[in-house]
Amino acid sequence: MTEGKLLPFRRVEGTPAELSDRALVSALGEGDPAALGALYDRFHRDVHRFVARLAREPDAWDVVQSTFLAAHRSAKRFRGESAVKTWLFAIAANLVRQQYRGEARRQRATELLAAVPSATAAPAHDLMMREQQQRWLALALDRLTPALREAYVLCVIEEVPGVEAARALAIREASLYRRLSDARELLRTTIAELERGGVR
Amino acid sequence: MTWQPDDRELDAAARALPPPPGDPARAEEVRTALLAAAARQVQLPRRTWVPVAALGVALAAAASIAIWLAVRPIEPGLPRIATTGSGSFARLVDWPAYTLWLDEGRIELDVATRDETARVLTRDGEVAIRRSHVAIAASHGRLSEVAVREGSVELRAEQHVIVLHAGETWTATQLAQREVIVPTPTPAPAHEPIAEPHPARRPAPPRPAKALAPEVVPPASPPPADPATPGAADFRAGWTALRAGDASGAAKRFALACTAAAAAPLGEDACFWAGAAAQRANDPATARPALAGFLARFPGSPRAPEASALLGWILYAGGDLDAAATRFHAAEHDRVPQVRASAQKGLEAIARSRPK
Repeated sequence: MTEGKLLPFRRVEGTPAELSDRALVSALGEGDPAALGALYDRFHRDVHRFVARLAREPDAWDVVQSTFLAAHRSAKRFRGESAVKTWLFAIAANLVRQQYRGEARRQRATELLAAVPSATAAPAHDLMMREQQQRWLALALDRLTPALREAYVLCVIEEVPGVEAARALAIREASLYRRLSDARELLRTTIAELERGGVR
Repeated sequence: MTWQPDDRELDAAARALPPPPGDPARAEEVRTALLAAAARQVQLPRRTWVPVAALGVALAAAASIAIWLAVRPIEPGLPRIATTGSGSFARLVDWPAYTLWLDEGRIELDVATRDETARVLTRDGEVAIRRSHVAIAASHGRLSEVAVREGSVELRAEQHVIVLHAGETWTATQLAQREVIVPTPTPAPAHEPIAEPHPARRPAPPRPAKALAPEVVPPASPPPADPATPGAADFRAGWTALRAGDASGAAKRFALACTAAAAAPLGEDACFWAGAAAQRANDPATARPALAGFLARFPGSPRAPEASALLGWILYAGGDLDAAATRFHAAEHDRVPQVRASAQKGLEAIARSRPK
Protein backbone atom coordinates (compact mmCIF):
# COMPACT_ATOMS: atom_id res chain seq x y z
CA MET A 1 0.00 0.00 0.00
CA THR A 2 1.65 3.25 -1.07
CA GLU A 3 1.20 6.19 1.26
CA GLY A 4 1.05 9.77 0.15
CA LYS A 5 1.25 13.02 2.02
CA LEU A 6 -0.68 13.00 5.26
CA LEU A 7 -3.94 14.72 4.40
CA PRO A 8 -6.17 14.59 7.47
CA PHE A 9 -9.86 14.76 6.78
CA ARG A 10 -10.07 17.23 9.59
CA ARG A 11 -7.50 19.87 10.39
CA VAL A 12 -4.57 18.43 12.29
CA GLU A 13 -4.83 19.46 15.91
CA GLY A 14 -3.31 18.49 19.15
CA THR A 15 -0.29 19.21 21.23
CA PRO A 16 2.93 17.83 19.75
CA ALA A 17 2.83 14.79 22.02
CA GLU A 18 -0.56 13.94 20.56
CA LEU A 19 0.72 13.89 17.00
CA SER A 20 2.55 11.16 15.15
CA ASP A 21 5.78 12.04 13.38
CA ARG A 22 4.03 12.55 10.08
CA ALA A 23 1.25 14.60 11.57
CA LEU A 24 3.91 16.75 13.20
CA VAL A 25 5.57 17.45 9.86
CA SER A 26 2.17 18.16 8.39
CA ALA A 27 1.53 20.65 11.19
CA LEU A 28 4.94 22.20 10.52
CA GLY A 29 4.02 22.59 6.88
CA GLU A 30 0.84 24.34 7.90
CA GLY A 31 2.78 26.89 9.93
CA ASP A 32 2.23 25.56 13.45
CA PRO A 33 4.84 27.46 15.49
CA ALA A 34 5.19 24.74 18.15
CA ALA A 35 5.79 21.98 15.63
CA LEU A 36 9.41 22.88 14.81
CA GLY A 37 10.49 22.77 18.44
CA ALA A 38 8.63 19.51 18.92
CA LEU A 39 10.27 18.00 15.83
CA TYR A 40 13.67 19.06 17.10
CA ASP A 41 12.99 17.62 20.56
CA ARG A 42 12.01 14.30 19.03
CA PHE A 43 14.80 13.87 16.54
CA HIS A 44 17.80 16.03 17.36
CA ARG A 45 19.67 13.18 19.06
CA ASP A 46 19.19 10.88 16.07
CA VAL A 47 20.22 13.57 13.60
CA HIS A 48 23.27 14.55 15.66
CA ARG A 49 24.35 10.92 15.98
CA PHE A 50 24.02 10.47 12.21
CA VAL A 51 25.77 13.72 11.31
CA ALA A 52 28.59 13.20 13.79
CA ARG A 53 29.52 9.99 11.98
CA LEU A 54 29.70 11.86 8.70
CA ALA A 55 31.18 15.22 9.71
CA ARG A 56 33.69 16.73 12.14
CA GLU A 57 32.29 17.12 15.65
CA PRO A 58 32.55 20.92 16.00
CA ASP A 59 30.64 21.31 12.73
CA ALA A 60 28.10 18.62 13.48
CA TRP A 61 25.85 20.89 15.53
CA ASP A 62 25.85 23.49 12.78
CA VAL A 63 24.68 20.81 10.38
CA VAL A 64 22.01 19.72 12.85
CA GLN A 65 20.66 23.25 13.05
CA SER A 66 20.74 23.66 9.27
CA THR A 67 18.96 20.33 8.88
CA PHE A 68 15.98 21.37 10.95
CA LEU A 69 15.89 24.78 9.31
CA ALA A 70 15.79 23.10 5.91
CA ALA A 71 13.08 20.77 7.19
CA HIS A 72 11.07 23.80 8.27
CA ARG A 73 11.33 25.22 4.73
CA SER A 74 10.45 22.00 2.97
CA ALA A 75 7.84 20.50 5.32
CA LYS A 76 5.04 21.36 2.91
CA ARG A 77 6.66 19.19 0.26
CA PHE A 78 7.07 16.14 2.51
CA ARG A 79 5.02 13.40 0.91
CA GLY A 80 5.29 10.74 3.59
CA GLU A 81 7.06 8.30 1.26
CA SER A 82 9.63 7.60 3.93
CA ALA A 83 9.79 7.76 7.68
CA VAL A 84 10.28 11.27 9.05
CA LYS A 85 13.63 10.28 10.55
CA THR A 86 14.84 9.06 7.15
CA TRP A 87 13.68 12.33 5.59
CA LEU A 88 15.73 14.29 8.13
CA PHE A 89 18.73 12.02 7.51
CA ALA A 90 18.43 12.71 3.79
CA ILE A 91 18.50 16.46 4.40
CA ALA A 92 21.46 16.10 6.74
CA ALA A 93 23.42 13.90 4.33
CA ASN A 94 22.92 16.43 1.57
CA LEU A 95 24.16 19.25 3.79
CA VAL A 96 27.24 17.28 4.83
CA ARG A 97 28.00 16.49 1.21
CA GLN A 98 27.85 20.15 0.29
CA GLN A 99 30.02 21.10 3.22
CA TYR A 100 32.68 18.44 2.80
CA ARG A 101 33.39 18.14 -0.86
CA GLY A 102 36.91 17.07 -1.58
CA GLU A 103 39.70 15.53 0.35
CA ALA A 104 39.54 17.42 3.61
CA ARG A 105 38.04 14.54 5.55
CA ARG A 106 40.16 11.86 3.96
CA GLN A 107 43.21 13.90 4.92
CA ARG A 108 42.07 13.90 8.52
CA ALA A 109 41.52 10.13 8.43
CA THR A 110 44.97 9.55 6.98
CA GLU A 111 46.52 11.66 9.74
CA LEU A 112 44.65 9.64 12.33
CA LEU A 113 45.81 6.38 10.78
CA ALA A 114 49.38 7.55 10.76
CA ALA A 115 49.14 8.08 14.49
CA VAL A 116 47.93 4.53 15.18
CA PRO A 117 50.76 2.45 16.67
CA SER A 118 51.66 -0.81 14.92
CA ALA A 119 50.04 -3.92 16.27
CA THR A 120 52.72 -5.79 18.16
CA ALA A 121 51.84 -8.08 21.02
CA ALA A 122 48.41 -9.73 20.97
CA PRO A 123 45.86 -8.24 23.34
CA ALA A 124 45.71 -9.78 26.77
CA HIS A 125 42.09 -10.93 26.51
CA ASP A 126 38.94 -10.83 24.43
CA LEU A 127 37.64 -7.51 25.73
CA MET A 128 40.79 -5.69 24.71
CA MET A 129 40.64 -7.41 21.32
CA ARG A 130 37.08 -6.22 20.81
CA GLU A 131 37.98 -2.68 21.82
CA GLN A 132 40.88 -2.71 19.42
CA GLN A 133 38.68 -4.02 16.63
CA GLN A 134 36.22 -1.23 17.37
CA ARG A 135 38.97 1.37 17.10
CA TRP A 136 40.10 -0.08 13.78
CA LEU A 137 36.56 -0.14 12.51
CA ALA A 138 35.91 3.47 13.57
CA LEU A 139 39.07 4.58 11.80
CA ALA A 140 38.24 2.54 8.73
CA LEU A 141 34.78 4.09 8.66
CA ASP A 142 36.35 7.50 8.76
CA ARG A 143 38.47 6.56 5.76
CA LEU A 144 35.53 5.70 3.49
CA THR A 145 34.62 8.13 0.76
CA PRO A 146 31.61 10.31 1.66
CA ALA A 147 29.33 8.42 -0.72
CA LEU A 148 30.22 5.03 0.73
CA ARG A 149 30.18 6.26 4.31
CA GLU A 150 26.75 7.88 4.12
CA ALA A 151 25.29 4.75 2.48
CA TYR A 152 26.85 2.47 5.09
CA VAL A 153 25.92 4.64 8.09
CA LEU A 154 22.35 5.09 6.83
CA CYS A 155 21.64 1.45 6.00
CA VAL A 156 23.76 -0.52 8.42
CA ILE A 157 24.21 1.64 11.51
CA GLU A 158 20.94 3.56 11.38
CA GLU A 159 19.12 0.51 9.93
CA VAL A 160 17.07 2.47 7.42
CA PRO A 161 15.39 0.05 4.95
CA GLY A 162 17.14 -0.12 1.58
CA VAL A 163 14.19 1.23 -0.42
CA GLU A 164 13.95 4.30 1.81
CA ALA A 165 17.70 4.82 1.96
CA ALA A 166 18.01 4.76 -1.83
CA ARG A 167 15.26 7.31 -2.11
CA ALA A 168 16.83 9.48 0.60
CA LEU A 169 20.19 9.47 -1.19
CA ALA A 170 18.50 9.92 -4.58
CA ILE A 171 20.16 6.87 -6.10
CA ARG A 172 18.85 3.59 -7.47
CA GLU A 173 18.58 0.61 -5.18
CA ALA A 174 21.12 -1.33 -7.21
CA SER A 175 23.59 1.54 -6.77
CA LEU A 176 22.94 1.58 -3.04
CA TYR A 177 23.67 -2.14 -2.68
CA ARG A 178 26.80 -1.75 -4.75
CA ARG A 179 27.99 1.05 -2.46
CA LEU A 180 27.31 -1.12 0.59
CA SER A 181 29.26 -3.96 -0.92
CA ASP A 182 32.14 -1.64 -1.82
CA ALA A 183 32.06 -0.08 1.64
CA ARG A 184 32.34 -3.47 3.34
CA GLU A 185 35.25 -4.48 1.12
CA LEU A 186 37.06 -1.25 1.81
CA LEU A 187 36.43 -1.52 5.55
CA ARG A 188 37.89 -5.03 5.60
CA THR A 189 40.90 -3.94 3.58
CA THR A 190 41.58 -1.00 5.89
CA ILE A 191 41.14 -3.12 9.00
CA ALA A 192 43.65 -5.62 7.60
CA GLU A 193 46.12 -2.78 6.97
CA LEU A 194 45.73 -1.55 10.51
CA GLU A 195 46.24 -5.04 11.89
CA ARG A 196 49.43 -5.48 9.92
CA GLY A 197 50.54 -2.08 11.14
CA GLY A 198 51.13 -0.65 7.68
CA VAL A 199 49.60 2.63 6.57
CA ARG A 200 49.44 3.88 3.00
CA MET B 1 44.89 -14.18 14.84
CA THR B 2 43.79 -11.71 12.16
CA TRP B 3 40.27 -10.34 12.24
CA GLN B 4 38.49 -11.16 9.01
CA PRO B 5 34.84 -10.39 9.62
CA ASP B 6 32.20 -11.51 7.17
CA ASP B 7 29.42 -9.06 6.22
CA ARG B 8 27.21 -9.95 9.14
CA GLU B 9 29.97 -9.68 11.74
CA LEU B 10 31.23 -6.44 10.25
CA ASP B 11 27.77 -4.86 10.27
CA ALA B 12 27.08 -6.04 13.81
CA ALA B 13 30.37 -4.53 14.95
CA ALA B 14 29.53 -1.27 13.20
CA ARG B 15 26.14 -1.11 14.92
CA ALA B 16 27.85 -1.73 18.25
CA LEU B 17 30.22 1.23 17.83
CA PRO B 18 29.60 3.70 20.64
CA PRO B 19 27.55 6.67 19.41
CA PRO B 20 29.23 10.07 19.25
CA PRO B 21 28.84 11.85 22.61
CA GLY B 22 25.95 14.27 22.91
CA ASP B 23 26.09 17.70 24.51
CA PRO B 24 22.78 18.72 26.15
CA ALA B 25 23.85 22.34 26.66
CA ARG B 26 24.88 22.71 23.04
CA ALA B 27 21.63 21.00 21.96
CA GLU B 28 19.64 23.59 23.89
CA GLU B 29 21.63 26.47 22.34
CA VAL B 30 20.96 25.09 18.89
CA ARG B 31 17.27 24.77 19.66
CA THR B 32 16.97 28.41 20.66
CA ALA B 33 18.95 29.57 17.65
CA LEU B 34 16.86 27.36 15.37
CA LEU B 35 13.55 28.81 16.53
CA ALA B 36 14.88 32.32 16.18
CA ALA B 37 16.18 31.59 12.68
CA ALA B 38 12.88 30.01 11.71
CA ALA B 39 10.99 33.08 12.88
CA ARG B 40 13.26 35.22 10.66
CA GLN B 41 12.71 32.77 7.79
CA VAL B 42 8.95 33.25 7.94
CA GLN B 43 9.35 37.00 7.73
CA LEU B 44 11.96 37.11 4.95
CA PRO B 45 9.77 36.03 1.96
CA ARG B 46 7.57 39.09 2.40
CA ARG B 47 10.58 41.27 1.51
CA THR B 48 9.32 44.14 3.61
CA TRP B 49 11.53 46.46 5.52
CA VAL B 50 11.31 45.36 9.14
CA PRO B 51 12.39 47.93 11.63
CA VAL B 52 15.13 46.70 13.89
CA ALA B 53 12.95 47.06 16.97
CA ALA B 54 10.15 44.95 15.47
CA LEU B 55 12.65 42.26 14.46
CA GLY B 56 14.02 42.26 17.97
CA VAL B 57 10.49 41.82 19.35
CA ALA B 58 9.92 38.87 16.99
CA LEU B 59 13.16 37.18 18.02
CA ALA B 60 12.39 37.74 21.67
CA ALA B 61 8.93 36.26 21.16
CA ALA B 62 10.40 33.18 19.49
CA ALA B 63 12.85 32.75 22.33
CA SER B 64 10.03 33.22 24.85
CA ILE B 65 7.99 30.53 23.15
CA ALA B 66 10.98 28.21 23.26
CA ILE B 67 11.51 28.88 26.94
CA TRP B 68 7.77 28.55 27.70
CA LEU B 69 7.57 25.21 25.91
CA ALA B 70 10.57 24.00 27.82
CA VAL B 71 9.42 25.01 31.30
CA ARG B 72 5.62 24.93 31.14
CA PRO B 73 4.08 22.51 33.62
CA ILE B 74 2.34 19.53 32.07
CA GLU B 75 -1.38 20.23 32.20
CA PRO B 76 -2.97 17.83 34.68
CA GLY B 77 -5.36 15.40 33.10
CA LEU B 78 -3.90 15.55 29.58
CA PRO B 79 -3.55 12.06 28.21
CA ARG B 80 -0.07 10.66 28.28
CA ILE B 81 0.68 9.11 24.95
CA ALA B 82 3.57 6.80 24.24
CA THR B 83 4.28 5.31 20.86
CA THR B 84 6.15 2.22 19.80
CA GLY B 85 8.00 2.63 16.53
CA SER B 86 6.60 4.80 13.78
CA GLY B 87 2.90 5.28 13.20
CA SER B 88 0.20 7.60 12.02
CA PHE B 89 -2.29 9.21 14.38
CA ALA B 90 -3.68 12.62 15.22
CA ARG B 91 -6.01 14.23 17.72
CA LEU B 92 -9.31 15.14 16.11
CA VAL B 93 -11.33 16.60 18.99
CA ASP B 94 -10.24 18.09 22.28
CA TRP B 95 -11.77 17.50 25.73
CA PRO B 96 -14.45 16.87 26.86
CA ALA B 97 -15.04 14.72 23.75
CA TYR B 98 -11.37 13.82 23.28
CA THR B 99 -10.95 11.79 20.09
CA LEU B 100 -7.81 10.41 18.55
CA TRP B 101 -7.61 8.88 15.08
CA LEU B 102 -5.24 5.93 14.78
CA ASP B 103 -4.29 4.76 11.32
CA GLU B 104 -1.11 2.77 11.82
CA GLY B 105 1.16 1.73 14.66
CA ARG B 106 0.86 1.22 18.36
CA ILE B 107 0.08 3.83 21.01
CA GLU B 108 -0.39 3.73 24.76
CA LEU B 109 -2.96 6.12 26.13
CA ASP B 110 -3.16 6.89 29.82
CA VAL B 111 -6.28 8.87 30.80
CA ALA B 112 -6.49 7.50 34.32
CA THR B 113 -7.08 10.99 35.78
CA ARG B 114 -9.97 12.07 33.52
CA ASP B 115 -13.65 11.52 34.19
CA GLU B 116 -14.74 12.16 30.61
CA THR B 117 -14.67 9.45 27.97
CA ALA B 118 -11.92 9.53 25.39
CA ARG B 119 -12.21 7.70 22.08
CA VAL B 120 -9.72 6.17 19.72
CA LEU B 121 -11.10 5.62 16.24
CA THR B 122 -9.88 3.46 13.41
CA ARG B 123 -11.57 2.74 10.11
CA ASP B 124 -13.28 -0.33 11.49
CA GLY B 125 -13.53 0.15 15.22
CA GLU B 126 -13.74 2.40 18.21
CA VAL B 127 -12.32 2.15 21.73
CA ALA B 128 -14.01 4.16 24.48
CA ILE B 129 -11.71 4.84 27.42
CA ARG B 130 -12.49 6.35 30.80
CA ARG B 131 -10.11 6.41 33.77
CA SER B 132 -7.97 3.78 32.07
CA HIS B 133 -4.56 3.03 30.71
CA VAL B 134 -4.65 1.10 27.47
CA ALA B 135 -2.42 0.13 24.54
CA ILE B 136 -4.03 0.14 21.09
CA ALA B 137 -2.57 -1.03 17.81
CA ALA B 138 -3.81 -0.63 14.25
CA SER B 139 -2.58 -1.82 10.90
CA HIS B 140 -3.68 -0.27 7.59
CA GLY B 141 -6.38 1.62 9.43
CA ARG B 142 -7.85 -1.51 11.05
CA LEU B 143 -7.84 -2.21 14.74
CA SER B 144 -5.48 -5.08 15.48
CA GLU B 145 -5.03 -5.13 19.26
CA VAL B 146 -6.34 -3.56 22.46
CA ALA B 147 -4.53 -4.34 25.73
CA VAL B 148 -5.86 -2.86 28.98
CA ARG B 149 -3.29 -2.04 31.66
CA GLU B 150 -5.59 -0.29 34.10
CA GLY B 151 -9.35 0.31 34.31
CA SER B 152 -11.88 -0.85 31.71
CA VAL B 153 -12.54 0.02 28.09
CA GLU B 154 -15.39 -0.60 25.72
CA LEU B 155 -14.46 -1.88 22.31
CA ARG B 156 -16.73 -1.76 19.29
CA ALA B 157 -15.47 -3.69 16.30
CA GLU B 158 -17.24 -5.54 13.53
CA GLN B 159 -20.65 -5.09 15.09
CA HIS B 160 -19.47 -6.57 18.36
CA VAL B 161 -19.26 -4.73 21.66
CA ILE B 162 -16.75 -6.06 24.15
CA VAL B 163 -15.77 -4.74 27.54
CA LEU B 164 -12.15 -5.39 28.47
CA HIS B 165 -10.81 -5.09 31.99
CA ALA B 166 -7.33 -4.60 33.37
CA GLY B 167 -5.04 -7.39 32.27
CA GLU B 168 -7.16 -8.40 29.27
CA THR B 169 -6.17 -8.20 25.61
CA TRP B 170 -8.22 -8.32 22.46
CA THR B 171 -6.71 -9.08 19.06
CA ALA B 172 -8.34 -8.87 15.65
CA THR B 173 -8.02 -12.60 15.07
CA GLN B 174 -10.21 -13.49 18.02
CA LEU B 175 -13.52 -12.67 16.36
CA ALA B 176 -12.53 -14.99 13.51
CA GLN B 177 -11.89 -17.92 15.85
CA ARG B 178 -15.54 -18.79 16.13
CA GLU B 179 -15.55 -19.78 12.45
CA VAL B 180 -12.25 -21.61 12.38
CA ILE B 181 -11.98 -25.37 12.52
CA VAL B 182 -8.96 -26.68 14.35
CA PRO B 183 -6.05 -25.43 12.25
CA THR B 184 -3.39 -27.67 10.81
CA PRO B 185 -0.01 -26.01 11.16
CA THR B 186 1.79 -25.95 7.83
CA PRO B 187 5.37 -27.22 8.23
CA ALA B 188 8.02 -24.94 6.80
CA PRO B 189 10.08 -26.66 4.09
CA ALA B 190 13.82 -26.76 4.63
CA HIS B 191 15.98 -24.02 3.07
CA GLU B 192 12.96 -21.87 2.42
CA PRO B 193 11.81 -18.76 4.12
CA ILE B 194 8.86 -19.16 6.39
CA ALA B 195 6.05 -17.19 4.81
CA GLU B 196 3.90 -17.28 7.93
CA PRO B 197 1.54 -14.36 8.23
CA HIS B 198 2.89 -12.08 10.87
CA PRO B 199 0.45 -9.99 12.82
CA ALA B 200 0.94 -6.37 13.82
CA ARG B 201 3.59 -5.72 16.43
CA ARG B 202 2.43 -7.09 19.74
CA PRO B 203 4.25 -7.13 23.07
CA ALA B 204 3.40 -10.02 25.36
CA PRO B 205 -0.02 -9.43 26.92
CA PRO B 206 -0.65 -10.65 30.47
CA ARG B 207 -3.47 -13.00 29.42
CA PRO B 208 -5.85 -13.27 26.51
CA ALA B 209 -9.44 -12.07 26.61
CA LYS B 210 -12.03 -14.53 27.89
CA ALA B 211 -13.63 -15.05 24.43
CA LEU B 212 -10.78 -17.35 23.32
CA ALA B 213 -11.16 -21.07 23.94
CA PRO B 214 -7.89 -22.26 25.52
CA GLU B 215 -7.62 -25.47 23.45
CA VAL B 216 -7.67 -23.65 20.10
CA VAL B 217 -4.23 -22.52 19.00
CA PRO B 218 -4.98 -19.45 16.97
CA PRO B 219 -2.99 -19.09 13.79
CA ALA B 220 -2.24 -15.49 12.98
CA SER B 221 -4.53 -14.56 10.14
CA PRO B 222 -5.77 -11.40 8.50
CA PRO B 223 -9.00 -9.86 9.76
CA PRO B 224 -12.09 -11.66 8.45
CA ALA B 225 -13.25 -10.30 5.12
CA ASP B 226 -16.67 -8.78 4.78
CA PRO B 227 -18.64 -11.22 2.54
CA ALA B 228 -20.00 -8.26 0.59
CA THR B 229 -16.50 -7.17 -0.51
CA PRO B 230 -15.55 -8.39 -4.00
CA GLY B 231 -13.22 -11.33 -3.67
CA ALA B 232 -14.07 -11.91 -0.02
CA ALA B 233 -15.59 -15.33 -0.54
CA ASP B 234 -12.59 -16.55 -2.54
CA PHE B 235 -10.28 -15.05 0.08
CA ARG B 236 -12.01 -16.95 2.87
CA ALA B 237 -11.98 -20.14 0.82
CA GLY B 238 -8.27 -19.66 0.23
CA TRP B 239 -7.62 -19.46 3.96
CA THR B 240 -9.72 -22.54 4.65
CA ALA B 241 -7.76 -24.46 2.02
CA LEU B 242 -4.42 -23.23 3.35
CA ARG B 243 -5.26 -24.26 6.89
CA ALA B 244 -6.36 -27.67 5.61
CA GLY B 245 -2.98 -28.15 3.94
CA ASP B 246 -4.15 -27.61 0.34
CA ALA B 247 -1.67 -24.92 -0.66
CA SER B 248 -2.30 -25.43 -4.37
CA GLY B 249 -6.05 -24.99 -4.02
CA ALA B 250 -5.48 -22.01 -1.75
CA ALA B 251 -3.26 -20.35 -4.36
CA LYS B 252 -6.02 -20.63 -6.97
CA ARG B 253 -8.65 -19.08 -4.69
CA PHE B 254 -6.31 -16.29 -3.58
CA ALA B 255 -5.56 -15.55 -7.23
CA LEU B 256 -9.27 -15.15 -7.91
CA ALA B 257 -9.60 -12.87 -4.90
CA CYS B 258 -6.58 -10.88 -6.06
CA THR B 259 -8.29 -10.20 -9.39
CA ALA B 260 -11.72 -9.49 -7.93
CA ALA B 261 -10.63 -7.25 -5.07
CA ALA B 262 -8.32 -5.17 -7.31
CA ALA B 263 -7.16 -2.05 -5.43
CA ALA B 264 -9.13 -2.73 -2.24
CA PRO B 265 -7.11 -3.50 0.92
CA LEU B 266 -8.25 -7.11 0.64
CA GLY B 267 -6.63 -7.23 -2.79
CA GLU B 268 -3.20 -6.54 -1.34
CA ASP B 269 -3.47 -9.47 1.08
CA ALA B 270 -4.99 -11.73 -1.55
CA CYS B 271 -2.31 -10.97 -4.13
CA PHE B 272 0.47 -11.61 -1.62
CA TRP B 273 -1.02 -14.94 -0.56
CA ALA B 274 -1.62 -16.00 -4.13
CA GLY B 275 2.14 -16.00 -4.56
CA ALA B 276 3.05 -17.27 -1.09
CA ALA B 277 0.60 -20.19 -1.28
CA ALA B 278 1.87 -21.18 -4.73
CA GLN B 279 5.42 -21.09 -3.40
CA ARG B 280 4.36 -23.27 -0.49
CA ALA B 281 2.79 -25.68 -2.97
CA ASN B 282 6.17 -25.95 -4.76
CA ASP B 283 4.70 -24.37 -7.90
CA PRO B 284 7.35 -21.84 -8.96
CA ALA B 285 5.76 -21.37 -12.39
CA THR B 286 2.72 -19.86 -10.64
CA ALA B 287 4.47 -18.32 -7.64
CA ARG B 288 7.06 -16.33 -9.57
CA PRO B 289 4.67 -14.18 -11.68
CA ALA B 290 2.28 -13.87 -8.74
CA LEU B 291 4.96 -12.51 -6.40
CA ALA B 292 6.46 -10.30 -9.11
CA GLY B 293 2.98 -8.98 -9.87
CA PHE B 294 2.36 -8.28 -6.19
CA LEU B 295 5.61 -6.32 -5.90
CA ALA B 296 4.80 -4.32 -9.02
CA ARG B 297 1.30 -3.44 -7.80
CA PHE B 298 2.09 -2.84 -4.12
CA PRO B 299 5.73 -1.71 -3.90
CA GLY B 300 5.17 0.10 -0.63
CA SER B 301 3.36 -2.77 1.07
CA PRO B 302 4.67 -3.88 4.48
CA ARG B 303 4.70 -7.36 2.90
CA ALA B 304 6.97 -6.32 0.04
CA PRO B 305 10.24 -7.41 1.69
CA GLU B 306 8.72 -10.78 2.59
CA ALA B 307 7.50 -11.24 -0.99
CA SER B 308 10.95 -10.23 -2.20
CA ALA B 309 12.57 -12.90 -0.04
CA LEU B 310 10.19 -15.58 -1.35
CA LEU B 311 10.80 -14.51 -4.93
CA GLY B 312 14.53 -14.47 -4.26
CA TRP B 313 14.50 -18.17 -3.38
CA ILE B 314 12.55 -19.00 -6.51
CA LEU B 315 15.03 -17.09 -8.66
CA TYR B 316 17.94 -18.71 -6.83
CA ALA B 317 16.52 -22.17 -7.49
CA GLY B 318 16.13 -21.21 -11.15
CA GLY B 319 19.81 -20.19 -11.37
CA ASP B 320 19.22 -16.45 -11.81
CA LEU B 321 21.66 -15.39 -9.10
CA ASP B 322 21.85 -11.68 -9.93
CA ALA B 323 18.09 -11.22 -9.84
CA ALA B 324 17.90 -13.30 -6.68
CA ALA B 325 20.54 -11.15 -5.02
CA THR B 326 18.56 -8.00 -5.83
CA ARG B 327 15.49 -9.52 -4.21
CA PHE B 328 17.35 -10.62 -1.11
CA HIS B 329 18.93 -7.20 -0.74
CA ALA B 330 15.45 -5.70 -0.84
CA ALA B 331 14.50 -7.87 2.13
CA GLU B 332 17.63 -7.84 4.25
CA HIS B 333 16.60 -4.81 6.33
CA ASP B 334 12.98 -5.79 6.92
CA ARG B 335 11.66 -5.28 10.42
CA VAL B 336 10.59 -8.93 10.73
CA PRO B 337 13.55 -11.00 12.00
CA GLN B 338 12.55 -14.16 10.07
CA VAL B 339 12.48 -12.23 6.79
CA ARG B 340 15.88 -10.65 7.48
CA ALA B 341 17.32 -14.04 8.39
CA SER B 342 15.91 -15.61 5.22
CA ALA B 343 17.35 -12.84 3.05
CA GLN B 344 20.72 -13.17 4.73
CA LYS B 345 20.71 -16.95 4.15
CA GLY B 346 19.87 -16.31 0.51
CA LEU B 347 22.77 -13.92 0.06
CA GLU B 348 25.13 -16.37 1.72
CA ALA B 349 23.89 -19.15 -0.55
CA ILE B 350 24.51 -16.96 -3.59
CA ALA B 351 28.00 -16.09 -2.38
CA ARG B 352 28.80 -19.79 -2.01
CA SER B 353 27.37 -20.55 -5.45
CA ARG B 354 29.39 -17.96 -7.33
CA PRO B 355 32.73 -19.11 -8.76
CA LYS B 356 35.70 -17.77 -6.71
